[in-house]
Amino acid sequence: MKKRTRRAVRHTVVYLSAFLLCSFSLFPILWGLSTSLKPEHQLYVQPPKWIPDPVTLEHYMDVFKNKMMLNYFYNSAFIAVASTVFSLMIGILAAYGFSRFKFPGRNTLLWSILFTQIFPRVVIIIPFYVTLKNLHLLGTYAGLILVYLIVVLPVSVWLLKGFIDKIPYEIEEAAIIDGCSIFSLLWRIVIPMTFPAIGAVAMYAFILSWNEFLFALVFSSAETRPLPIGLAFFIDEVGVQWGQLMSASILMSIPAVVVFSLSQKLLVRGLSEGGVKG
Amino acid sequence: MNNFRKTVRNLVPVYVLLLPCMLLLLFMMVYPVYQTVRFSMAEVKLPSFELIFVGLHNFIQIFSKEEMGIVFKNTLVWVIGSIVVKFMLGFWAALTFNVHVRGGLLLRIICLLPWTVPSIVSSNLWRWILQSDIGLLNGSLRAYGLGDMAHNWLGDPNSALYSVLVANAWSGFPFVMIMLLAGMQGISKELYEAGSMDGANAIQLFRYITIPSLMPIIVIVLLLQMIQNLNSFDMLYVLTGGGPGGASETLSLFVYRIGFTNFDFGGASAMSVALLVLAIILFSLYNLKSNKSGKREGAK
Amino acid sequence: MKNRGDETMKKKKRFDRQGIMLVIALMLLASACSNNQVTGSSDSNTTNSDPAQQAGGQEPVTLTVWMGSWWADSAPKIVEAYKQEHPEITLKIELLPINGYLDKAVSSALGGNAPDLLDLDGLMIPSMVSKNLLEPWDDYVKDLDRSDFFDAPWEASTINGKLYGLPNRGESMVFFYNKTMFDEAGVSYPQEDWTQEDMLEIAKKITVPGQKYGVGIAASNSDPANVLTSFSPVLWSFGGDFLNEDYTEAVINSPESVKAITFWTELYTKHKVVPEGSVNFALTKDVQPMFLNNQVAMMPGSSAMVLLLEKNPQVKWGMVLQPNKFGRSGSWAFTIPVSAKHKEAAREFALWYVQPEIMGKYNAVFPSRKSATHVPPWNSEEMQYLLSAAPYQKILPPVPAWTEMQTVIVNELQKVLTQVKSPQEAADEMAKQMNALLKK
Repeated sequence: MKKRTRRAVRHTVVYLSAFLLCSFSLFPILWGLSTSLKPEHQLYVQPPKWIPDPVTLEHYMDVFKNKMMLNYFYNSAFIAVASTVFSLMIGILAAYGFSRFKFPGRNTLLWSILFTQIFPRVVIIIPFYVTLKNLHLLGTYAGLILVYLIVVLPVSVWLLKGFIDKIPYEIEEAAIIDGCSIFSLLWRIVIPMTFPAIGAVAMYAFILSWNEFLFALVFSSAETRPLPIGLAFFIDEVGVQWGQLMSASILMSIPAVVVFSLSQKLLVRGLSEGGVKG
Repeated sequence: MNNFRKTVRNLVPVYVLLLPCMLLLLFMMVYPVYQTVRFSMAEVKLPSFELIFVGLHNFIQIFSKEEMGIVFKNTLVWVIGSIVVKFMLGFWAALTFNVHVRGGLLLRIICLLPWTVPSIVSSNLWRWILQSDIGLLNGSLRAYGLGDMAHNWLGDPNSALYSVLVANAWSGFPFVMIMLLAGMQGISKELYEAGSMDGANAIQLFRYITIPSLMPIIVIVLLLQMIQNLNSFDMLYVLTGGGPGGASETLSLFVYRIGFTNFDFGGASAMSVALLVLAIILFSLYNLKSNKSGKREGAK
Repeated sequence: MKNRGDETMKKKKRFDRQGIMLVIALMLLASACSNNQVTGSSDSNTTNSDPAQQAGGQEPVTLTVWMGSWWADSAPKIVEAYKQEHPEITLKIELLPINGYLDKAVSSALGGNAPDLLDLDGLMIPSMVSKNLLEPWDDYVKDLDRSDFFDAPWEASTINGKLYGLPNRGESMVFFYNKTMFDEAGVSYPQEDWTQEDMLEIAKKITVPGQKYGVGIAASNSDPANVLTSFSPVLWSFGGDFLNEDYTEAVINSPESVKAITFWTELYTKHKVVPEGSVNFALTKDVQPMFLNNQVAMMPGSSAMVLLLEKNPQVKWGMVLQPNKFGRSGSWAFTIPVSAKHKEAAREFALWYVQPEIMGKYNAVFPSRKSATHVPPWNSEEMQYLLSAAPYQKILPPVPAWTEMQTVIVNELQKVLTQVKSPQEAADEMAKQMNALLKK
């Protein structure tokens, strides 16, 4: 009896807490949603009107009719998926290497890749531009993916290494003695044990590539342009076209939400119970 | 551990594992870093990028600018404040969602939504929310009779930085939440069960089990947040542009102004190099400290 | 035990030192390779002249033009029309958002991959010129009817006596007023010969604190051009200016200028006839919505405002010349980056475009010459009124360090608005910094 009431209390606290957090997270987005369904002349009515009257789908229709948007969507999808996959592949290899091996210069290398993040965009953008130009990668998918990898990898490696550090290595040792190859070792043992970290890093890499603006603007051409640039077109000299901006933005966040939902499966699961005990 | 390393090393040299990553990063970053260091000590003539060596002139010029003091103070407040708020929100959220309840997945995804909004949208949206006369916040306060609380959030030098900080925290706390949540998955239930059998209450469990187990992750996330918040740009630029009167100008806005408004690439590079040197100094100090404690351990 | 500990410590230190040397070695290696990279691009610039194009111009050429996103409707039509004239040239018009427009333009120009023709805001041209990034137009515009072009945009593109941009846009700023609010307050509409003081009187009569405001100003850091649009007409009305006639000295702290600063800032601090959030306002993002919402009665604007108001028929509005007639001219011009690949074809296109019939027909924004305004939509009553305001438009100083000076001016104005400084102190600080910048 006591256990059940204790659980009920705990759940109530959790729901209350979640309610507060969700309200905070949600209210700007709800306002954006409301804006996307409002006709233009109702935007700035005071006091603020949350429920549009009448509800209009014209902004969404405008976005769907815009052929460029579809193009931007394909570009964004391709670039983001490629960046995420590559950053995970390269990141896991590097994180494992940094975690399990002590070699000369390990610490220095580890910290120096972190230091690459210190440089402000302003300072980095022109050397990057020149590099991409010399590699003939300006305005290509590969060029942009390359730049995103540079931005995402340091964080990914550090995070993955942090998780791999915590995993007891006895299992791997046992596997090697049994004659396991390094890649099968990684694939069958290390990766399943770091699923939460992989889920988190995948989300991070995806959302960074999906939402990045400045690098996307400068390094892409009209054909390879990703979605955030498309959004920027709704802000011009005449001000912000809120209706289209919000409807495009909401449509644009749907894939991100999908990726996040899928990653949740990786993220929240108990570590395999059959771990080696003490 | 030595035996293990020897056996694995027989399998594959460590370089193969690290090669793709290091090759990519060093290849792409070495040139920008090298170029930045060169620029920082030269006068950069555009468009040919002809360099005239001027030694530490750029550094002296930048650091003797009047607004440097305020920029540093703002940056310090911004970084520390952002980290504190994001960690508080992130921890609170991670603890909440670590408990399995019905509908928990949906609620968790809702809390992730701020992260999915691109900065061009979130910055303009928050600008609309916080703007004084036509903003959502003030409008709502006035509509519910709380008009006295309405304030010139972005136009008052005393509140500008903090207002943007809240908007930025909204946008970035999901990252902290996810990392901590991932870390919490690795804490075995048995530890908690043993603890509560020994009579520990929730707070003690948190202090003596959760925090220590999460320490490595917390440290990493802290480090990453320090660097990321140091370079926060979009929110600040759109909401206040560094104003009013420089009250919300942080280092990132300052460097942008020097580089792209004043076209002073020497100065912008000098600032970046100074940051890098600072980071290296802190790293060396940290290394020295951990060497000392390592020595004490090795001596046992 | 102790010995082994010391040994491992020594080993660790040695390893880390090795690591550092490894990184340095890599950097030296990269520097040896990269030494050619930047100079390489500038070499290719000098060898990249026009002999290939000069030899006939009949070979297929892809001409790349960058313009702002507001040309979205016109761009395909322009491409079509040009194809009729010059089928051998493939015209590519790339549209960019205003957000980050200058960033992209500068990065590409400096990175050596600029377009052939770049549409630039008049305010952006002086700094690009000072970095030697643009080509002059003087030799190529001799056959143009200079008197047909508005003075202000032309002057804005003229740096050190040379023309660096061929204007395709010349906006004249006037005051728009909200008739509904005027009627409610029982105030008669502004007359053309009104002064700033008249404007203040009218604003006071209309203002109801917390609900309605007589006039709108902009002072936000993130939109410095808007601030200048709002402030400079006031400055000129009082007989003040930013720099002297030949742009050699700052006169922003002259008695007349200080009076102007005082007047403009007191709209907020003393008379409170402008909205509460004005310190962080931009004209387009903040004042405009309030105007449409019948909360601000007067504001500066140009042709874009006319087009916007036509889409909002619920607003009753009127136009009048600004107080004391001064307005800040807005202009955009075609520029040719130094690293462009097809300069002659670019010039040919630009010169074709600025013909009155073409410009009048395809311009998405107010044309830069009078004879182009005889066709719709420029021949409407409202647009022709803007035309009549053209002679009173003044430009901001076309000096290289202007963008830097602009941020100083906006910053100091904000300090006066937030009552951290007095107008005289702010003006002196502005003058000090502007003079230092002029000397560079």
